[in-house]
Amino acid sequence: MAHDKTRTIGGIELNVSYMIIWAVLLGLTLVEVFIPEMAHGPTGPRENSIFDPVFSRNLSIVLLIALAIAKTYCVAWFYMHLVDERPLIVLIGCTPFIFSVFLTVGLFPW
Amino acid sequence: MSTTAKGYLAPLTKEAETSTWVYLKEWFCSTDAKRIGVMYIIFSIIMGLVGLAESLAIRIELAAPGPTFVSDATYMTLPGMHATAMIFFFIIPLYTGFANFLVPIQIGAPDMAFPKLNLCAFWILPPAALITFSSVLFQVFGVDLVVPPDFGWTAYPPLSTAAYNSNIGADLWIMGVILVGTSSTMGAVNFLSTVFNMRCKNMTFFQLPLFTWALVVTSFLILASTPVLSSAMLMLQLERTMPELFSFFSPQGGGDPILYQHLFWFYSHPAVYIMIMPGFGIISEIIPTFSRKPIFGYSVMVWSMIAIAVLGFVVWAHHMFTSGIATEVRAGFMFLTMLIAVPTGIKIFSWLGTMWGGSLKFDTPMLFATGFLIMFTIGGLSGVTLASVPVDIELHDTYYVVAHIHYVLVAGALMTIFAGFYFWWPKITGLMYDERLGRIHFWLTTIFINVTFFVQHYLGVKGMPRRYFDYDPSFADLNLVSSLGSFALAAAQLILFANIALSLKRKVAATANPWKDAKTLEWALSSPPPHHNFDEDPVWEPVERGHGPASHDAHPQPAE
Amino acid sequence: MASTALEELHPPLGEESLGVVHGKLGMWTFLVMDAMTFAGFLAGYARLRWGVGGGADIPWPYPYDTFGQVGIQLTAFNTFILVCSSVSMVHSLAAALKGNMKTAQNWMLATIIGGLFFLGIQGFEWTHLIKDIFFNGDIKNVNFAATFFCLTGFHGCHVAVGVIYNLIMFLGMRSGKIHQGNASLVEIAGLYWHFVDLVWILVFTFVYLI
Repeated sequence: MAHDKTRTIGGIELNVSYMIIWAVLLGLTLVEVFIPEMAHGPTGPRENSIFDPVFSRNLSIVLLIALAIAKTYCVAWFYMHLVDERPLIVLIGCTPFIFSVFLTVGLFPW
Repeated sequence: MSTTAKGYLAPLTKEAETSTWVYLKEWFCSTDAKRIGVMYIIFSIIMGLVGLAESLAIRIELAAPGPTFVSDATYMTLPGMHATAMIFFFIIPLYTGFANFLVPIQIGAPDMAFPKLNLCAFWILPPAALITFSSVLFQVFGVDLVVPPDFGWTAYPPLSTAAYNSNIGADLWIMGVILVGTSSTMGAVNFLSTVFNMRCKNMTFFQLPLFTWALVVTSFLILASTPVLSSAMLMLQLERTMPELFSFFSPQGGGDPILYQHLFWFYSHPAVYIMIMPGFGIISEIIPTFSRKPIFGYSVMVWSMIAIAVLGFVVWAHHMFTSGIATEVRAGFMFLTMLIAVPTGIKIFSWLGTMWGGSLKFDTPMLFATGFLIMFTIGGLSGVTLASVPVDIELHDTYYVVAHIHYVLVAGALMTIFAGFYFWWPKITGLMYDERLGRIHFWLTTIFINVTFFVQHYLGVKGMPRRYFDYDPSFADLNLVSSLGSFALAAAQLILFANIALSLKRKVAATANPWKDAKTLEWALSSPPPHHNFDEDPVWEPVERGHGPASHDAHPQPAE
Repeated sequence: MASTALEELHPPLGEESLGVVHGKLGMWTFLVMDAMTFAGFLAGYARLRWGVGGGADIPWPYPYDTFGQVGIQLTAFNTFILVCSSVSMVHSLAAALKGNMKTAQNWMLATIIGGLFFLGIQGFEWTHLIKDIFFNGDIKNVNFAATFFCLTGFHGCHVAVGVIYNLIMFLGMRSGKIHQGNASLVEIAGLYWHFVDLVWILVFTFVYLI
């Protein structure tokens, strides 16, 4: 535990850094909500979507998962302080992520 | 015997010295990891006897073709409840008991990191056992309202959904399993925190005794796999309680029974490593002690345990080769499964390498360790044959699988438990056991394990299915052999209990290090160890873990 | 005073340790377990959604169609609230580390209110979905509702537990039992709370948006 008042994350002072992450999370959430609205409207895939109608669904899924992972990374790395934790604890934190990927990939109905 | 020599067994207060009840209460509320460990061991031995009774009922029924001993409906409940007792309430808690006793001492800590959590984890077990096995009590007393589940320990839906088994006994079983899982994850959290944070001076990660390493790896396995079983069980319970709203698993409601099998085996495959890894640790302590040589390839032993653990998470679908998954996927899982034989083989050869050129002493623990090495190799090899997809399709759900699992769990895990039991009995109780009875116990156990289970390979290859109430008369002879073997195996365990009783009666005090060559920290303490383990913080003398030319004269040169 | 009492609660660190309090390791390892429980539910959801077994012929409705634009935006707002309560949690910790216990207490109160707000909106949403959407016969696929309630319900339980946890922290700060010296207790509570937030980010994406 660091007790010094000048605790920083990546050179930025704590409180400022927290607010930056907060803004990033907020922005990413807005983008996330925007994606399905663009990809498919109230009655299935939209005609005038900015995405190609055929690929809109796959593309939106990939984008959404990427955004979700970016957001979870922000929370885990900065809010859960993995940034200044020793490698072993980072490893413990990564374990469930790795194993749940194993599980989900293995569950795919091949 | 004076109070000081009784170590942690000594009563803490004046009242406890005179009143047995107060003394017992002191144990039940104790946060001392050693006392909790002993309570774990006693509890799981009791549950082991329950499991043993059920297995005997199975073998009596199967001794001759046709209905003989129990009704078919009762028989269907036996294999599942036998497995539940042995897996969830015998092997896993028994290892936890050993670990509670030993891990804090081996790392030079006064206690576990969370003593109260530790006590809580233990006290979840007896109610869980009562919940799970209450249906068996009802069954024994002939009440039909609550019957044990008849879907085996795997509880595959749709057999386990409300449509096919609406009895409350199945709900109780599910609740009990979730509770056991909770208890063992609590234990795992505790072990990891203890080992990571409470090691004494110089006890770095690659100085840890291998038993402690085994517990670290096992705890990771428990943490990452048990909750998946819990979530599967919660889904199953929701589906049972509200069949019209939830149908995750039953095809008639739009669910997917294979999903359950995936989730179940994602736990239950790592679970077999949970049930053998601490055993590997025990063997890795015993063989160097009785070979009077340091363990061969220490760091390789550690890395192979980690490799087994990681690989253990990506092989679960080999239990489902006949469930219709794609050939490519089966081939992948077959490859990964066979890959596990590599780190396991490394361990076997490292144990042999430790014994090679050592000056061996065959006391009872070493006998059990040697027996384990040989028979576990048989069990491991039959596992490799089962991993092959075409062979597995032939042998799936036959007695070959039963033989394999019993070679791994009885000839594997149980033998390590016996080895560890004899090895640490002087440390736990401060008393010596009778060496001759121990040897007799070893020989009878080893012989009758083989009599009981070896013939089952042949029965399986010939096509006798598992979990069936009746069988073709052509299987009768070998089934009789197997049944007789199991009765003798059960009878041989009486010798163990006689040995315990004799040891407690004779009170031959054990020295701090009765095996002379044991090196880990628990042997530096008196037998039994005092309440807070170490009077002053211990300092571990780092061991040279490399295996270059023998630099110590105490260790003989390996015979080339 | 209180600090020594709390230190006695746990055995001391060993000479060789990771240099963090036991509680932090305990919480991280517990979170491994908790995350895998969610992984079980999420993976099950994924497989049912991929559509095999008996449900293959019944199409899985688009969440966007079922919840509607307003429903999605309401839940997005709920996500926003949970993220905000995470921020107030880290501020509470930062204040506690600096010894401003009064500030820390207020931030913790904000966190609790955020959690309660989240639960309230979720309760409203559930009521609406149960009464008007899920069981009116339009949705043929029973697993859609089942996985939805399973995932959001299990997460909701975690939020409820987190609110209680934070309430205990808040009361501890008010009575002076939690102070600068044992601010790690706040950090550990924060780990749990951020984890709940993190899981919600995933659940929100997988259940509402994809």
